Amino acid sequence: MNELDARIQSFIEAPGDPGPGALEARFNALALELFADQYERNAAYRRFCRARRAEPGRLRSWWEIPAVPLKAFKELTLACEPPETAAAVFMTSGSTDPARRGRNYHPHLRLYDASLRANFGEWFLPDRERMRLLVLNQPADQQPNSSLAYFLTRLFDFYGASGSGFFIGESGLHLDSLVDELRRAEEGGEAVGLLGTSFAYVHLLDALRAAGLSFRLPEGSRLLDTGGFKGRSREVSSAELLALFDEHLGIPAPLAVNYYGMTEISTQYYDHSLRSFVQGSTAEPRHKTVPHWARIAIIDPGTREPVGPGERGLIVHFDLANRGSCLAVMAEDIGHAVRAGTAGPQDPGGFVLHGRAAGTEARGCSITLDELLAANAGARA
Amino acid sequence: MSSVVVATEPTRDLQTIDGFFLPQLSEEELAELDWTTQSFAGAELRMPVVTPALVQVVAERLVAAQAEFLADRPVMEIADVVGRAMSRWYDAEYAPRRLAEALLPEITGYAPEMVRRGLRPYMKTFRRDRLLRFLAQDFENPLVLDGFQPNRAGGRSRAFGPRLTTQIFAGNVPGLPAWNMICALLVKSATLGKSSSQEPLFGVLVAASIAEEDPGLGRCLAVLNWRGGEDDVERAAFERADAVTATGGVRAVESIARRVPVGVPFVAYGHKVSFGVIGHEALALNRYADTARRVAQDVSQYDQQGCLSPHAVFVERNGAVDPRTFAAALAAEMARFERDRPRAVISLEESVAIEDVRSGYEFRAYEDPDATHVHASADGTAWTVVYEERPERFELSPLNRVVRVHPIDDIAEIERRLAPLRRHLQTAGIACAPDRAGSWADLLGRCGVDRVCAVGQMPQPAAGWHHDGRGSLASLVRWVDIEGAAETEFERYDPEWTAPRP
Repeated sequence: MNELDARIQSFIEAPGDPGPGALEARFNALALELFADQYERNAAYRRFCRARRAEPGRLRSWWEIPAVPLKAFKELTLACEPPETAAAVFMTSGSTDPARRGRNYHPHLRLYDASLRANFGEWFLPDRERMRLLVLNQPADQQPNSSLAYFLTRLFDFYGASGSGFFIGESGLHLDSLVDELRRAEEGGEAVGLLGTSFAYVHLLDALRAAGLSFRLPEGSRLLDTGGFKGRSREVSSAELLALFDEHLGIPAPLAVNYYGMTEISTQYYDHSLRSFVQGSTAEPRHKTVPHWARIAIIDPGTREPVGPGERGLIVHFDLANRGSCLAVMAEDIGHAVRAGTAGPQDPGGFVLHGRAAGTEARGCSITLDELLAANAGARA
Repeated sequence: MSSVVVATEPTRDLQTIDGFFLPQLSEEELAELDWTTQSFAGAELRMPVVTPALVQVVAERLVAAQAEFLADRPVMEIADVVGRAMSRWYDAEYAPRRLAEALLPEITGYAPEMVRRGLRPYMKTFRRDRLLRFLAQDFENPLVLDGFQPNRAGGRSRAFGPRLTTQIFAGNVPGLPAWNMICALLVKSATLGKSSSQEPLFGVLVAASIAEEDPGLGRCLAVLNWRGGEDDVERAAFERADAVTATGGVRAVESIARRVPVGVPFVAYGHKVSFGVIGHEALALNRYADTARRVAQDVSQYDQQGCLSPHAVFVERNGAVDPRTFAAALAAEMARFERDRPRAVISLEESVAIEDVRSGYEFRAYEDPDATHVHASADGTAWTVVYEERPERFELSPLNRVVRVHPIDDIAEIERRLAPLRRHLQTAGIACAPDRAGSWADLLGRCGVDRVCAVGQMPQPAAGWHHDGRGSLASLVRWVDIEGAAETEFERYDPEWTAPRP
């Protein structure tokens, strides 16, 4: 934790209320400083920047900071400190080749935690300090390289009231004890929060349906979910999922919050729906929010220029909390901005996530080698 | 008969065109159908909403039309008619050709010049004399399609085509439905064609020009569009068919294969992979630039979407220019092709796939700068040439003009590299001295390739090509043999011996 880290942390925790112009200027200054630091200390990233003729001193705006593609986390060692000294190494879920898993090295998790707390409080618990949290995931000690497990475990640590717990272990979903907890909550009248991945919820909902169970959780109960399905459960649309949450758990749609996060960054992007609901503001179409210590740009990958509000583009992250590797990361996710932001044309304000670019059907015959070889199995009888 | 290409509005921006071909239905019957339109810049295709009931009626009538107009038609007469119909396309002013040239770029996104220059030689594949090559390639004596002809076994044989072939057309490369429909006609089969939503027009235009030439043959063709995989519609489409063909990706073909009734022959033109091999002779100082130009054409034509398009090029090391220099020359030619015939605007997903390939090589070059080099269009993803010394395995291109160049010392090296893809290999475009071509072809054939051509000609298969290793016509027919011994035996029943003596 150095002096720059301390300043970033206090910016995350207490930006003050300097007005949008000054906030943007402070973000920009910190982003360029962090960029200079990462350029200096992260050799692989420096090389990447040099190939793009970007170096500290020549950039004027956070927007110009070269964003590394996700592949860089797989192919390069993107670390500002020696990797072996990292407090945590978060890895992407293994594809076919475990050696090629993306790795994000964190020398410490202070900024990660600061980001997590500032966001969660704002978007999931704006109306209370703590809550009984039922986590549909393995705890971090069982999954030391999972950023998701770390994230959910920290939420449990910071915000979990007594009676909170984890309901997925190495053997899978602990349905019986979870059902007991849900029943207890239903009877006791005290609101609970569920946290987990979308596919874990699908397994839960399928199990509840099979058992003919449904709950009306007490008022104020809420739920956080994230991520796609990646073949780990059946695919369910988000609209369908929201309807099922209401039907089986009694959690109305605005209180079901989806967030977007990735191993390669250190900030999460939450739906605004719960906060708006709590504040009683009129329903806006659901979108994700960008906290003041991060920026999201939606770009045309061909030209690398930002696209207009409503137009589909590739999501690029600029995240001050992503201290250990690179603050600028180009995701493989597609989204659109809901309106122009306050921080100039590159800042979309809020955005809607469409999902991953990879794996979608492209024009014509494009196919990966693995898909083609896998198709051999589908012989005609 | 419905008029086939109807421009209901005089101005181009309001043009509504028939995106179907259904001469089997009367105007009244057509009027009773539900309609939908598919819009493109500059045009709107009008199509009936396809229901199982519609498919049933059309299939019945196709079978009846086949019996009436096709079953007893001499094959040479069919070749004459089709040849004449296709020869209309050689006239640049022929209305359907002009329509195709105007609309296919809008529909597919391909550069107009590329479509124009692609269609012209392609349509000549169906000149009358070349149709005879289709026949000659698959039948020693094409008259077996008309009647029983002596066979080598001492008897006689006749080849019956399907009465009706249901054909699922591809949409990645304009023109392919012509090949499918004409092959079916040559074996006297009617076609119920399902056009691709990516390119629903061309099959309609070809069917229409055959109908213009010979309305009877026209009634043996129908082209409809439904969403691939619509179970009840496809069930109806397969039910009456004597054969089914499908050209498409792995998933589409697999899904169709599962639904074709057992006993109905299914000819699948599935996912195929092509590549180039450049011998040192083609890297001579007075040849290499031209070789690069030809390879660039093969890669760039139809934005590499065809099965015939090369994913990679293997280049021999001992030429006047080395493979690395050749890759640079290829990059220059890719850039030139792009200026002339720009690549289509691609989706975000496709751009991401290209960026992913590019950045992967960039990062690998950090470790070992000599092993790889990426040549890429400066702005955007228009074209990419990757020079890669030691590939881990043969990788597929994400297409849209991304090609890898791998050096080899000897062509024998590629056999091992291509082994995993054996069932999917198709065209090898080669450039080498004549005396090596034979042994190269032996090796390539062993690898699984079914077409060897010169670089620069990869996108244009010759008439009669054994498409994906099988006869385009032979794979459709059913043989009937009269055994030689039987003919001798039949002599016993000659009335001369059996008639009661007076």
